Amino acid sequence: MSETVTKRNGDNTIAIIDYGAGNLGSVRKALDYLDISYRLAGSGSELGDPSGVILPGVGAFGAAAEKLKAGGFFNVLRNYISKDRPFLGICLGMQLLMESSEETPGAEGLGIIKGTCSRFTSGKIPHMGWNNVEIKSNGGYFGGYFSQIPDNSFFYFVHGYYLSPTPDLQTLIPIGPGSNPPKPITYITRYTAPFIAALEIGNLLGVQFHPEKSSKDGLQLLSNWVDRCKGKKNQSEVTP
Amino acid sequence: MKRNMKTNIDDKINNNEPALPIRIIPCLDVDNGRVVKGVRFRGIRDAGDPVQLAREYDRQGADEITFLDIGATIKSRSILLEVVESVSRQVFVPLTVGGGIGSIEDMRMVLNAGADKVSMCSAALRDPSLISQGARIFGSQCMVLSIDAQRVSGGKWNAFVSGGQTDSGKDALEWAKEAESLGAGEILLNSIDRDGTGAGYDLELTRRVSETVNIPVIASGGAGAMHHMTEAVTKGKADAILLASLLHYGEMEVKDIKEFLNQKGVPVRW
Repeated sequence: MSETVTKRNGDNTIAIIDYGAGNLGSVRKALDYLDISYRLAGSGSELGDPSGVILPGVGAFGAAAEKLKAGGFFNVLRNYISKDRPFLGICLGMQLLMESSEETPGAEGLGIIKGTCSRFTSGKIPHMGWNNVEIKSNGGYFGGYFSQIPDNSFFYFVHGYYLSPTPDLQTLIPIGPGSNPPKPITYITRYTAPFIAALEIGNLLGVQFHPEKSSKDGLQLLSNWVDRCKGKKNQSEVTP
Repeated sequence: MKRNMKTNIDDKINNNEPALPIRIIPCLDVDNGRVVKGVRFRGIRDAGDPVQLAREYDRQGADEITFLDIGATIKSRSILLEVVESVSRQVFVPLTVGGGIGSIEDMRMVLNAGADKVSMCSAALRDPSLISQGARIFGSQCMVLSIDAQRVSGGKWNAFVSGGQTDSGKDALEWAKEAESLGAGEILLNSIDRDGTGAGYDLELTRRVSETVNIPVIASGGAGAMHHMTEAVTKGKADAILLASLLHYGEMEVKDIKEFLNQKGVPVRW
């Protein structure tokens, strides 16, 4: 086992967190289709020095947070994100960035972003289906995560909880070297309540929808994120 | 086509408009790995190849794809798993698989092969705990309860089993409500009376079920013209539409249907 870990740690590909609460299969197939290599990290100690990290997530907040903790991922991920390294949180994987969720009171998320996930209280639950994301501007790097994706494009959502839009998104840990922290950008979708469909803070991207189930535009977004990982590769730091 | 711009959500709810774009879901019947009555789209070399058809429907804007195993043999099921594997490697929209799913193990194999959802009908009626077990293990979002409903006396509908042959004796509306409480994530509602007639959906049935549960309802059975689909949404309050025979004859394409719905003010993804 340790030999494999050493080999994996030396390799710069994208790492997908394998913590027993993610829809790994679909994400892997999408990356295979895009001809993007990746490896699985089954514990925090296996994370190593990847060019990017994907945190998938399906299920309940509390159970997922526990599994993430049990896998020794908490400190490793907080450390990784604080260095402004490329990160993609999908669905529950984005919600886990928050402090907590109404879904499982008392459970602690990664606590990167201040706040609690809210529950939809009207309309059919969960919010299930295609809905459009208001992409008013593209972020800066390589044309942004939504490069080549038109404004108001549709993505596939399945969730009962959400991040409430806030004019002032706060991070609880500093992201990046410090003197010039990246400004959070949020993208909104409207169901029976408006919610954050995607958020970016520098090299951190969180999406409430499933890009691996959102046909062409979803694959484009994944591809754009991977471009970001490649772009930053030369500047990656060695993890302690 | 002009992209559907969102209006105020309260206006939509007040006007009884759907809060979410209506999903159009082609259903492919598969027997021993071959699609039965596959459409000969231009550019498709083999109209019986589920992978080629699924790719084409995705390209045309299908919101999800459903595969129904009509083979009823162990061999057919095992080949279907290979089909699901192949399709899920090339088509990135939600995939649902149904037909003869009768155990947690069946569900697991189908989901592991790459399906996002499983659909159950007769097995769930025989053993409703399959719904709750499946929901607990795989999540409600994976569990689609398929109901074959037929009108019976007293202005009611009963749920039928065995491909619509036998009356289970259970009231369809009550069954839908019970399934929701057990953990079903969606109801696939098929009208036996209307299925294959082309005379339109059973709108009253669809509306009653949609109003009874707080989970999405997929209308199925009876569509023969595009206005039937508008009605399924505006009068039947359906959240999604399953299309089988209407697409199979190749007269109508997914994009034609979406264009029509869009013109009638029904929100669709485009």
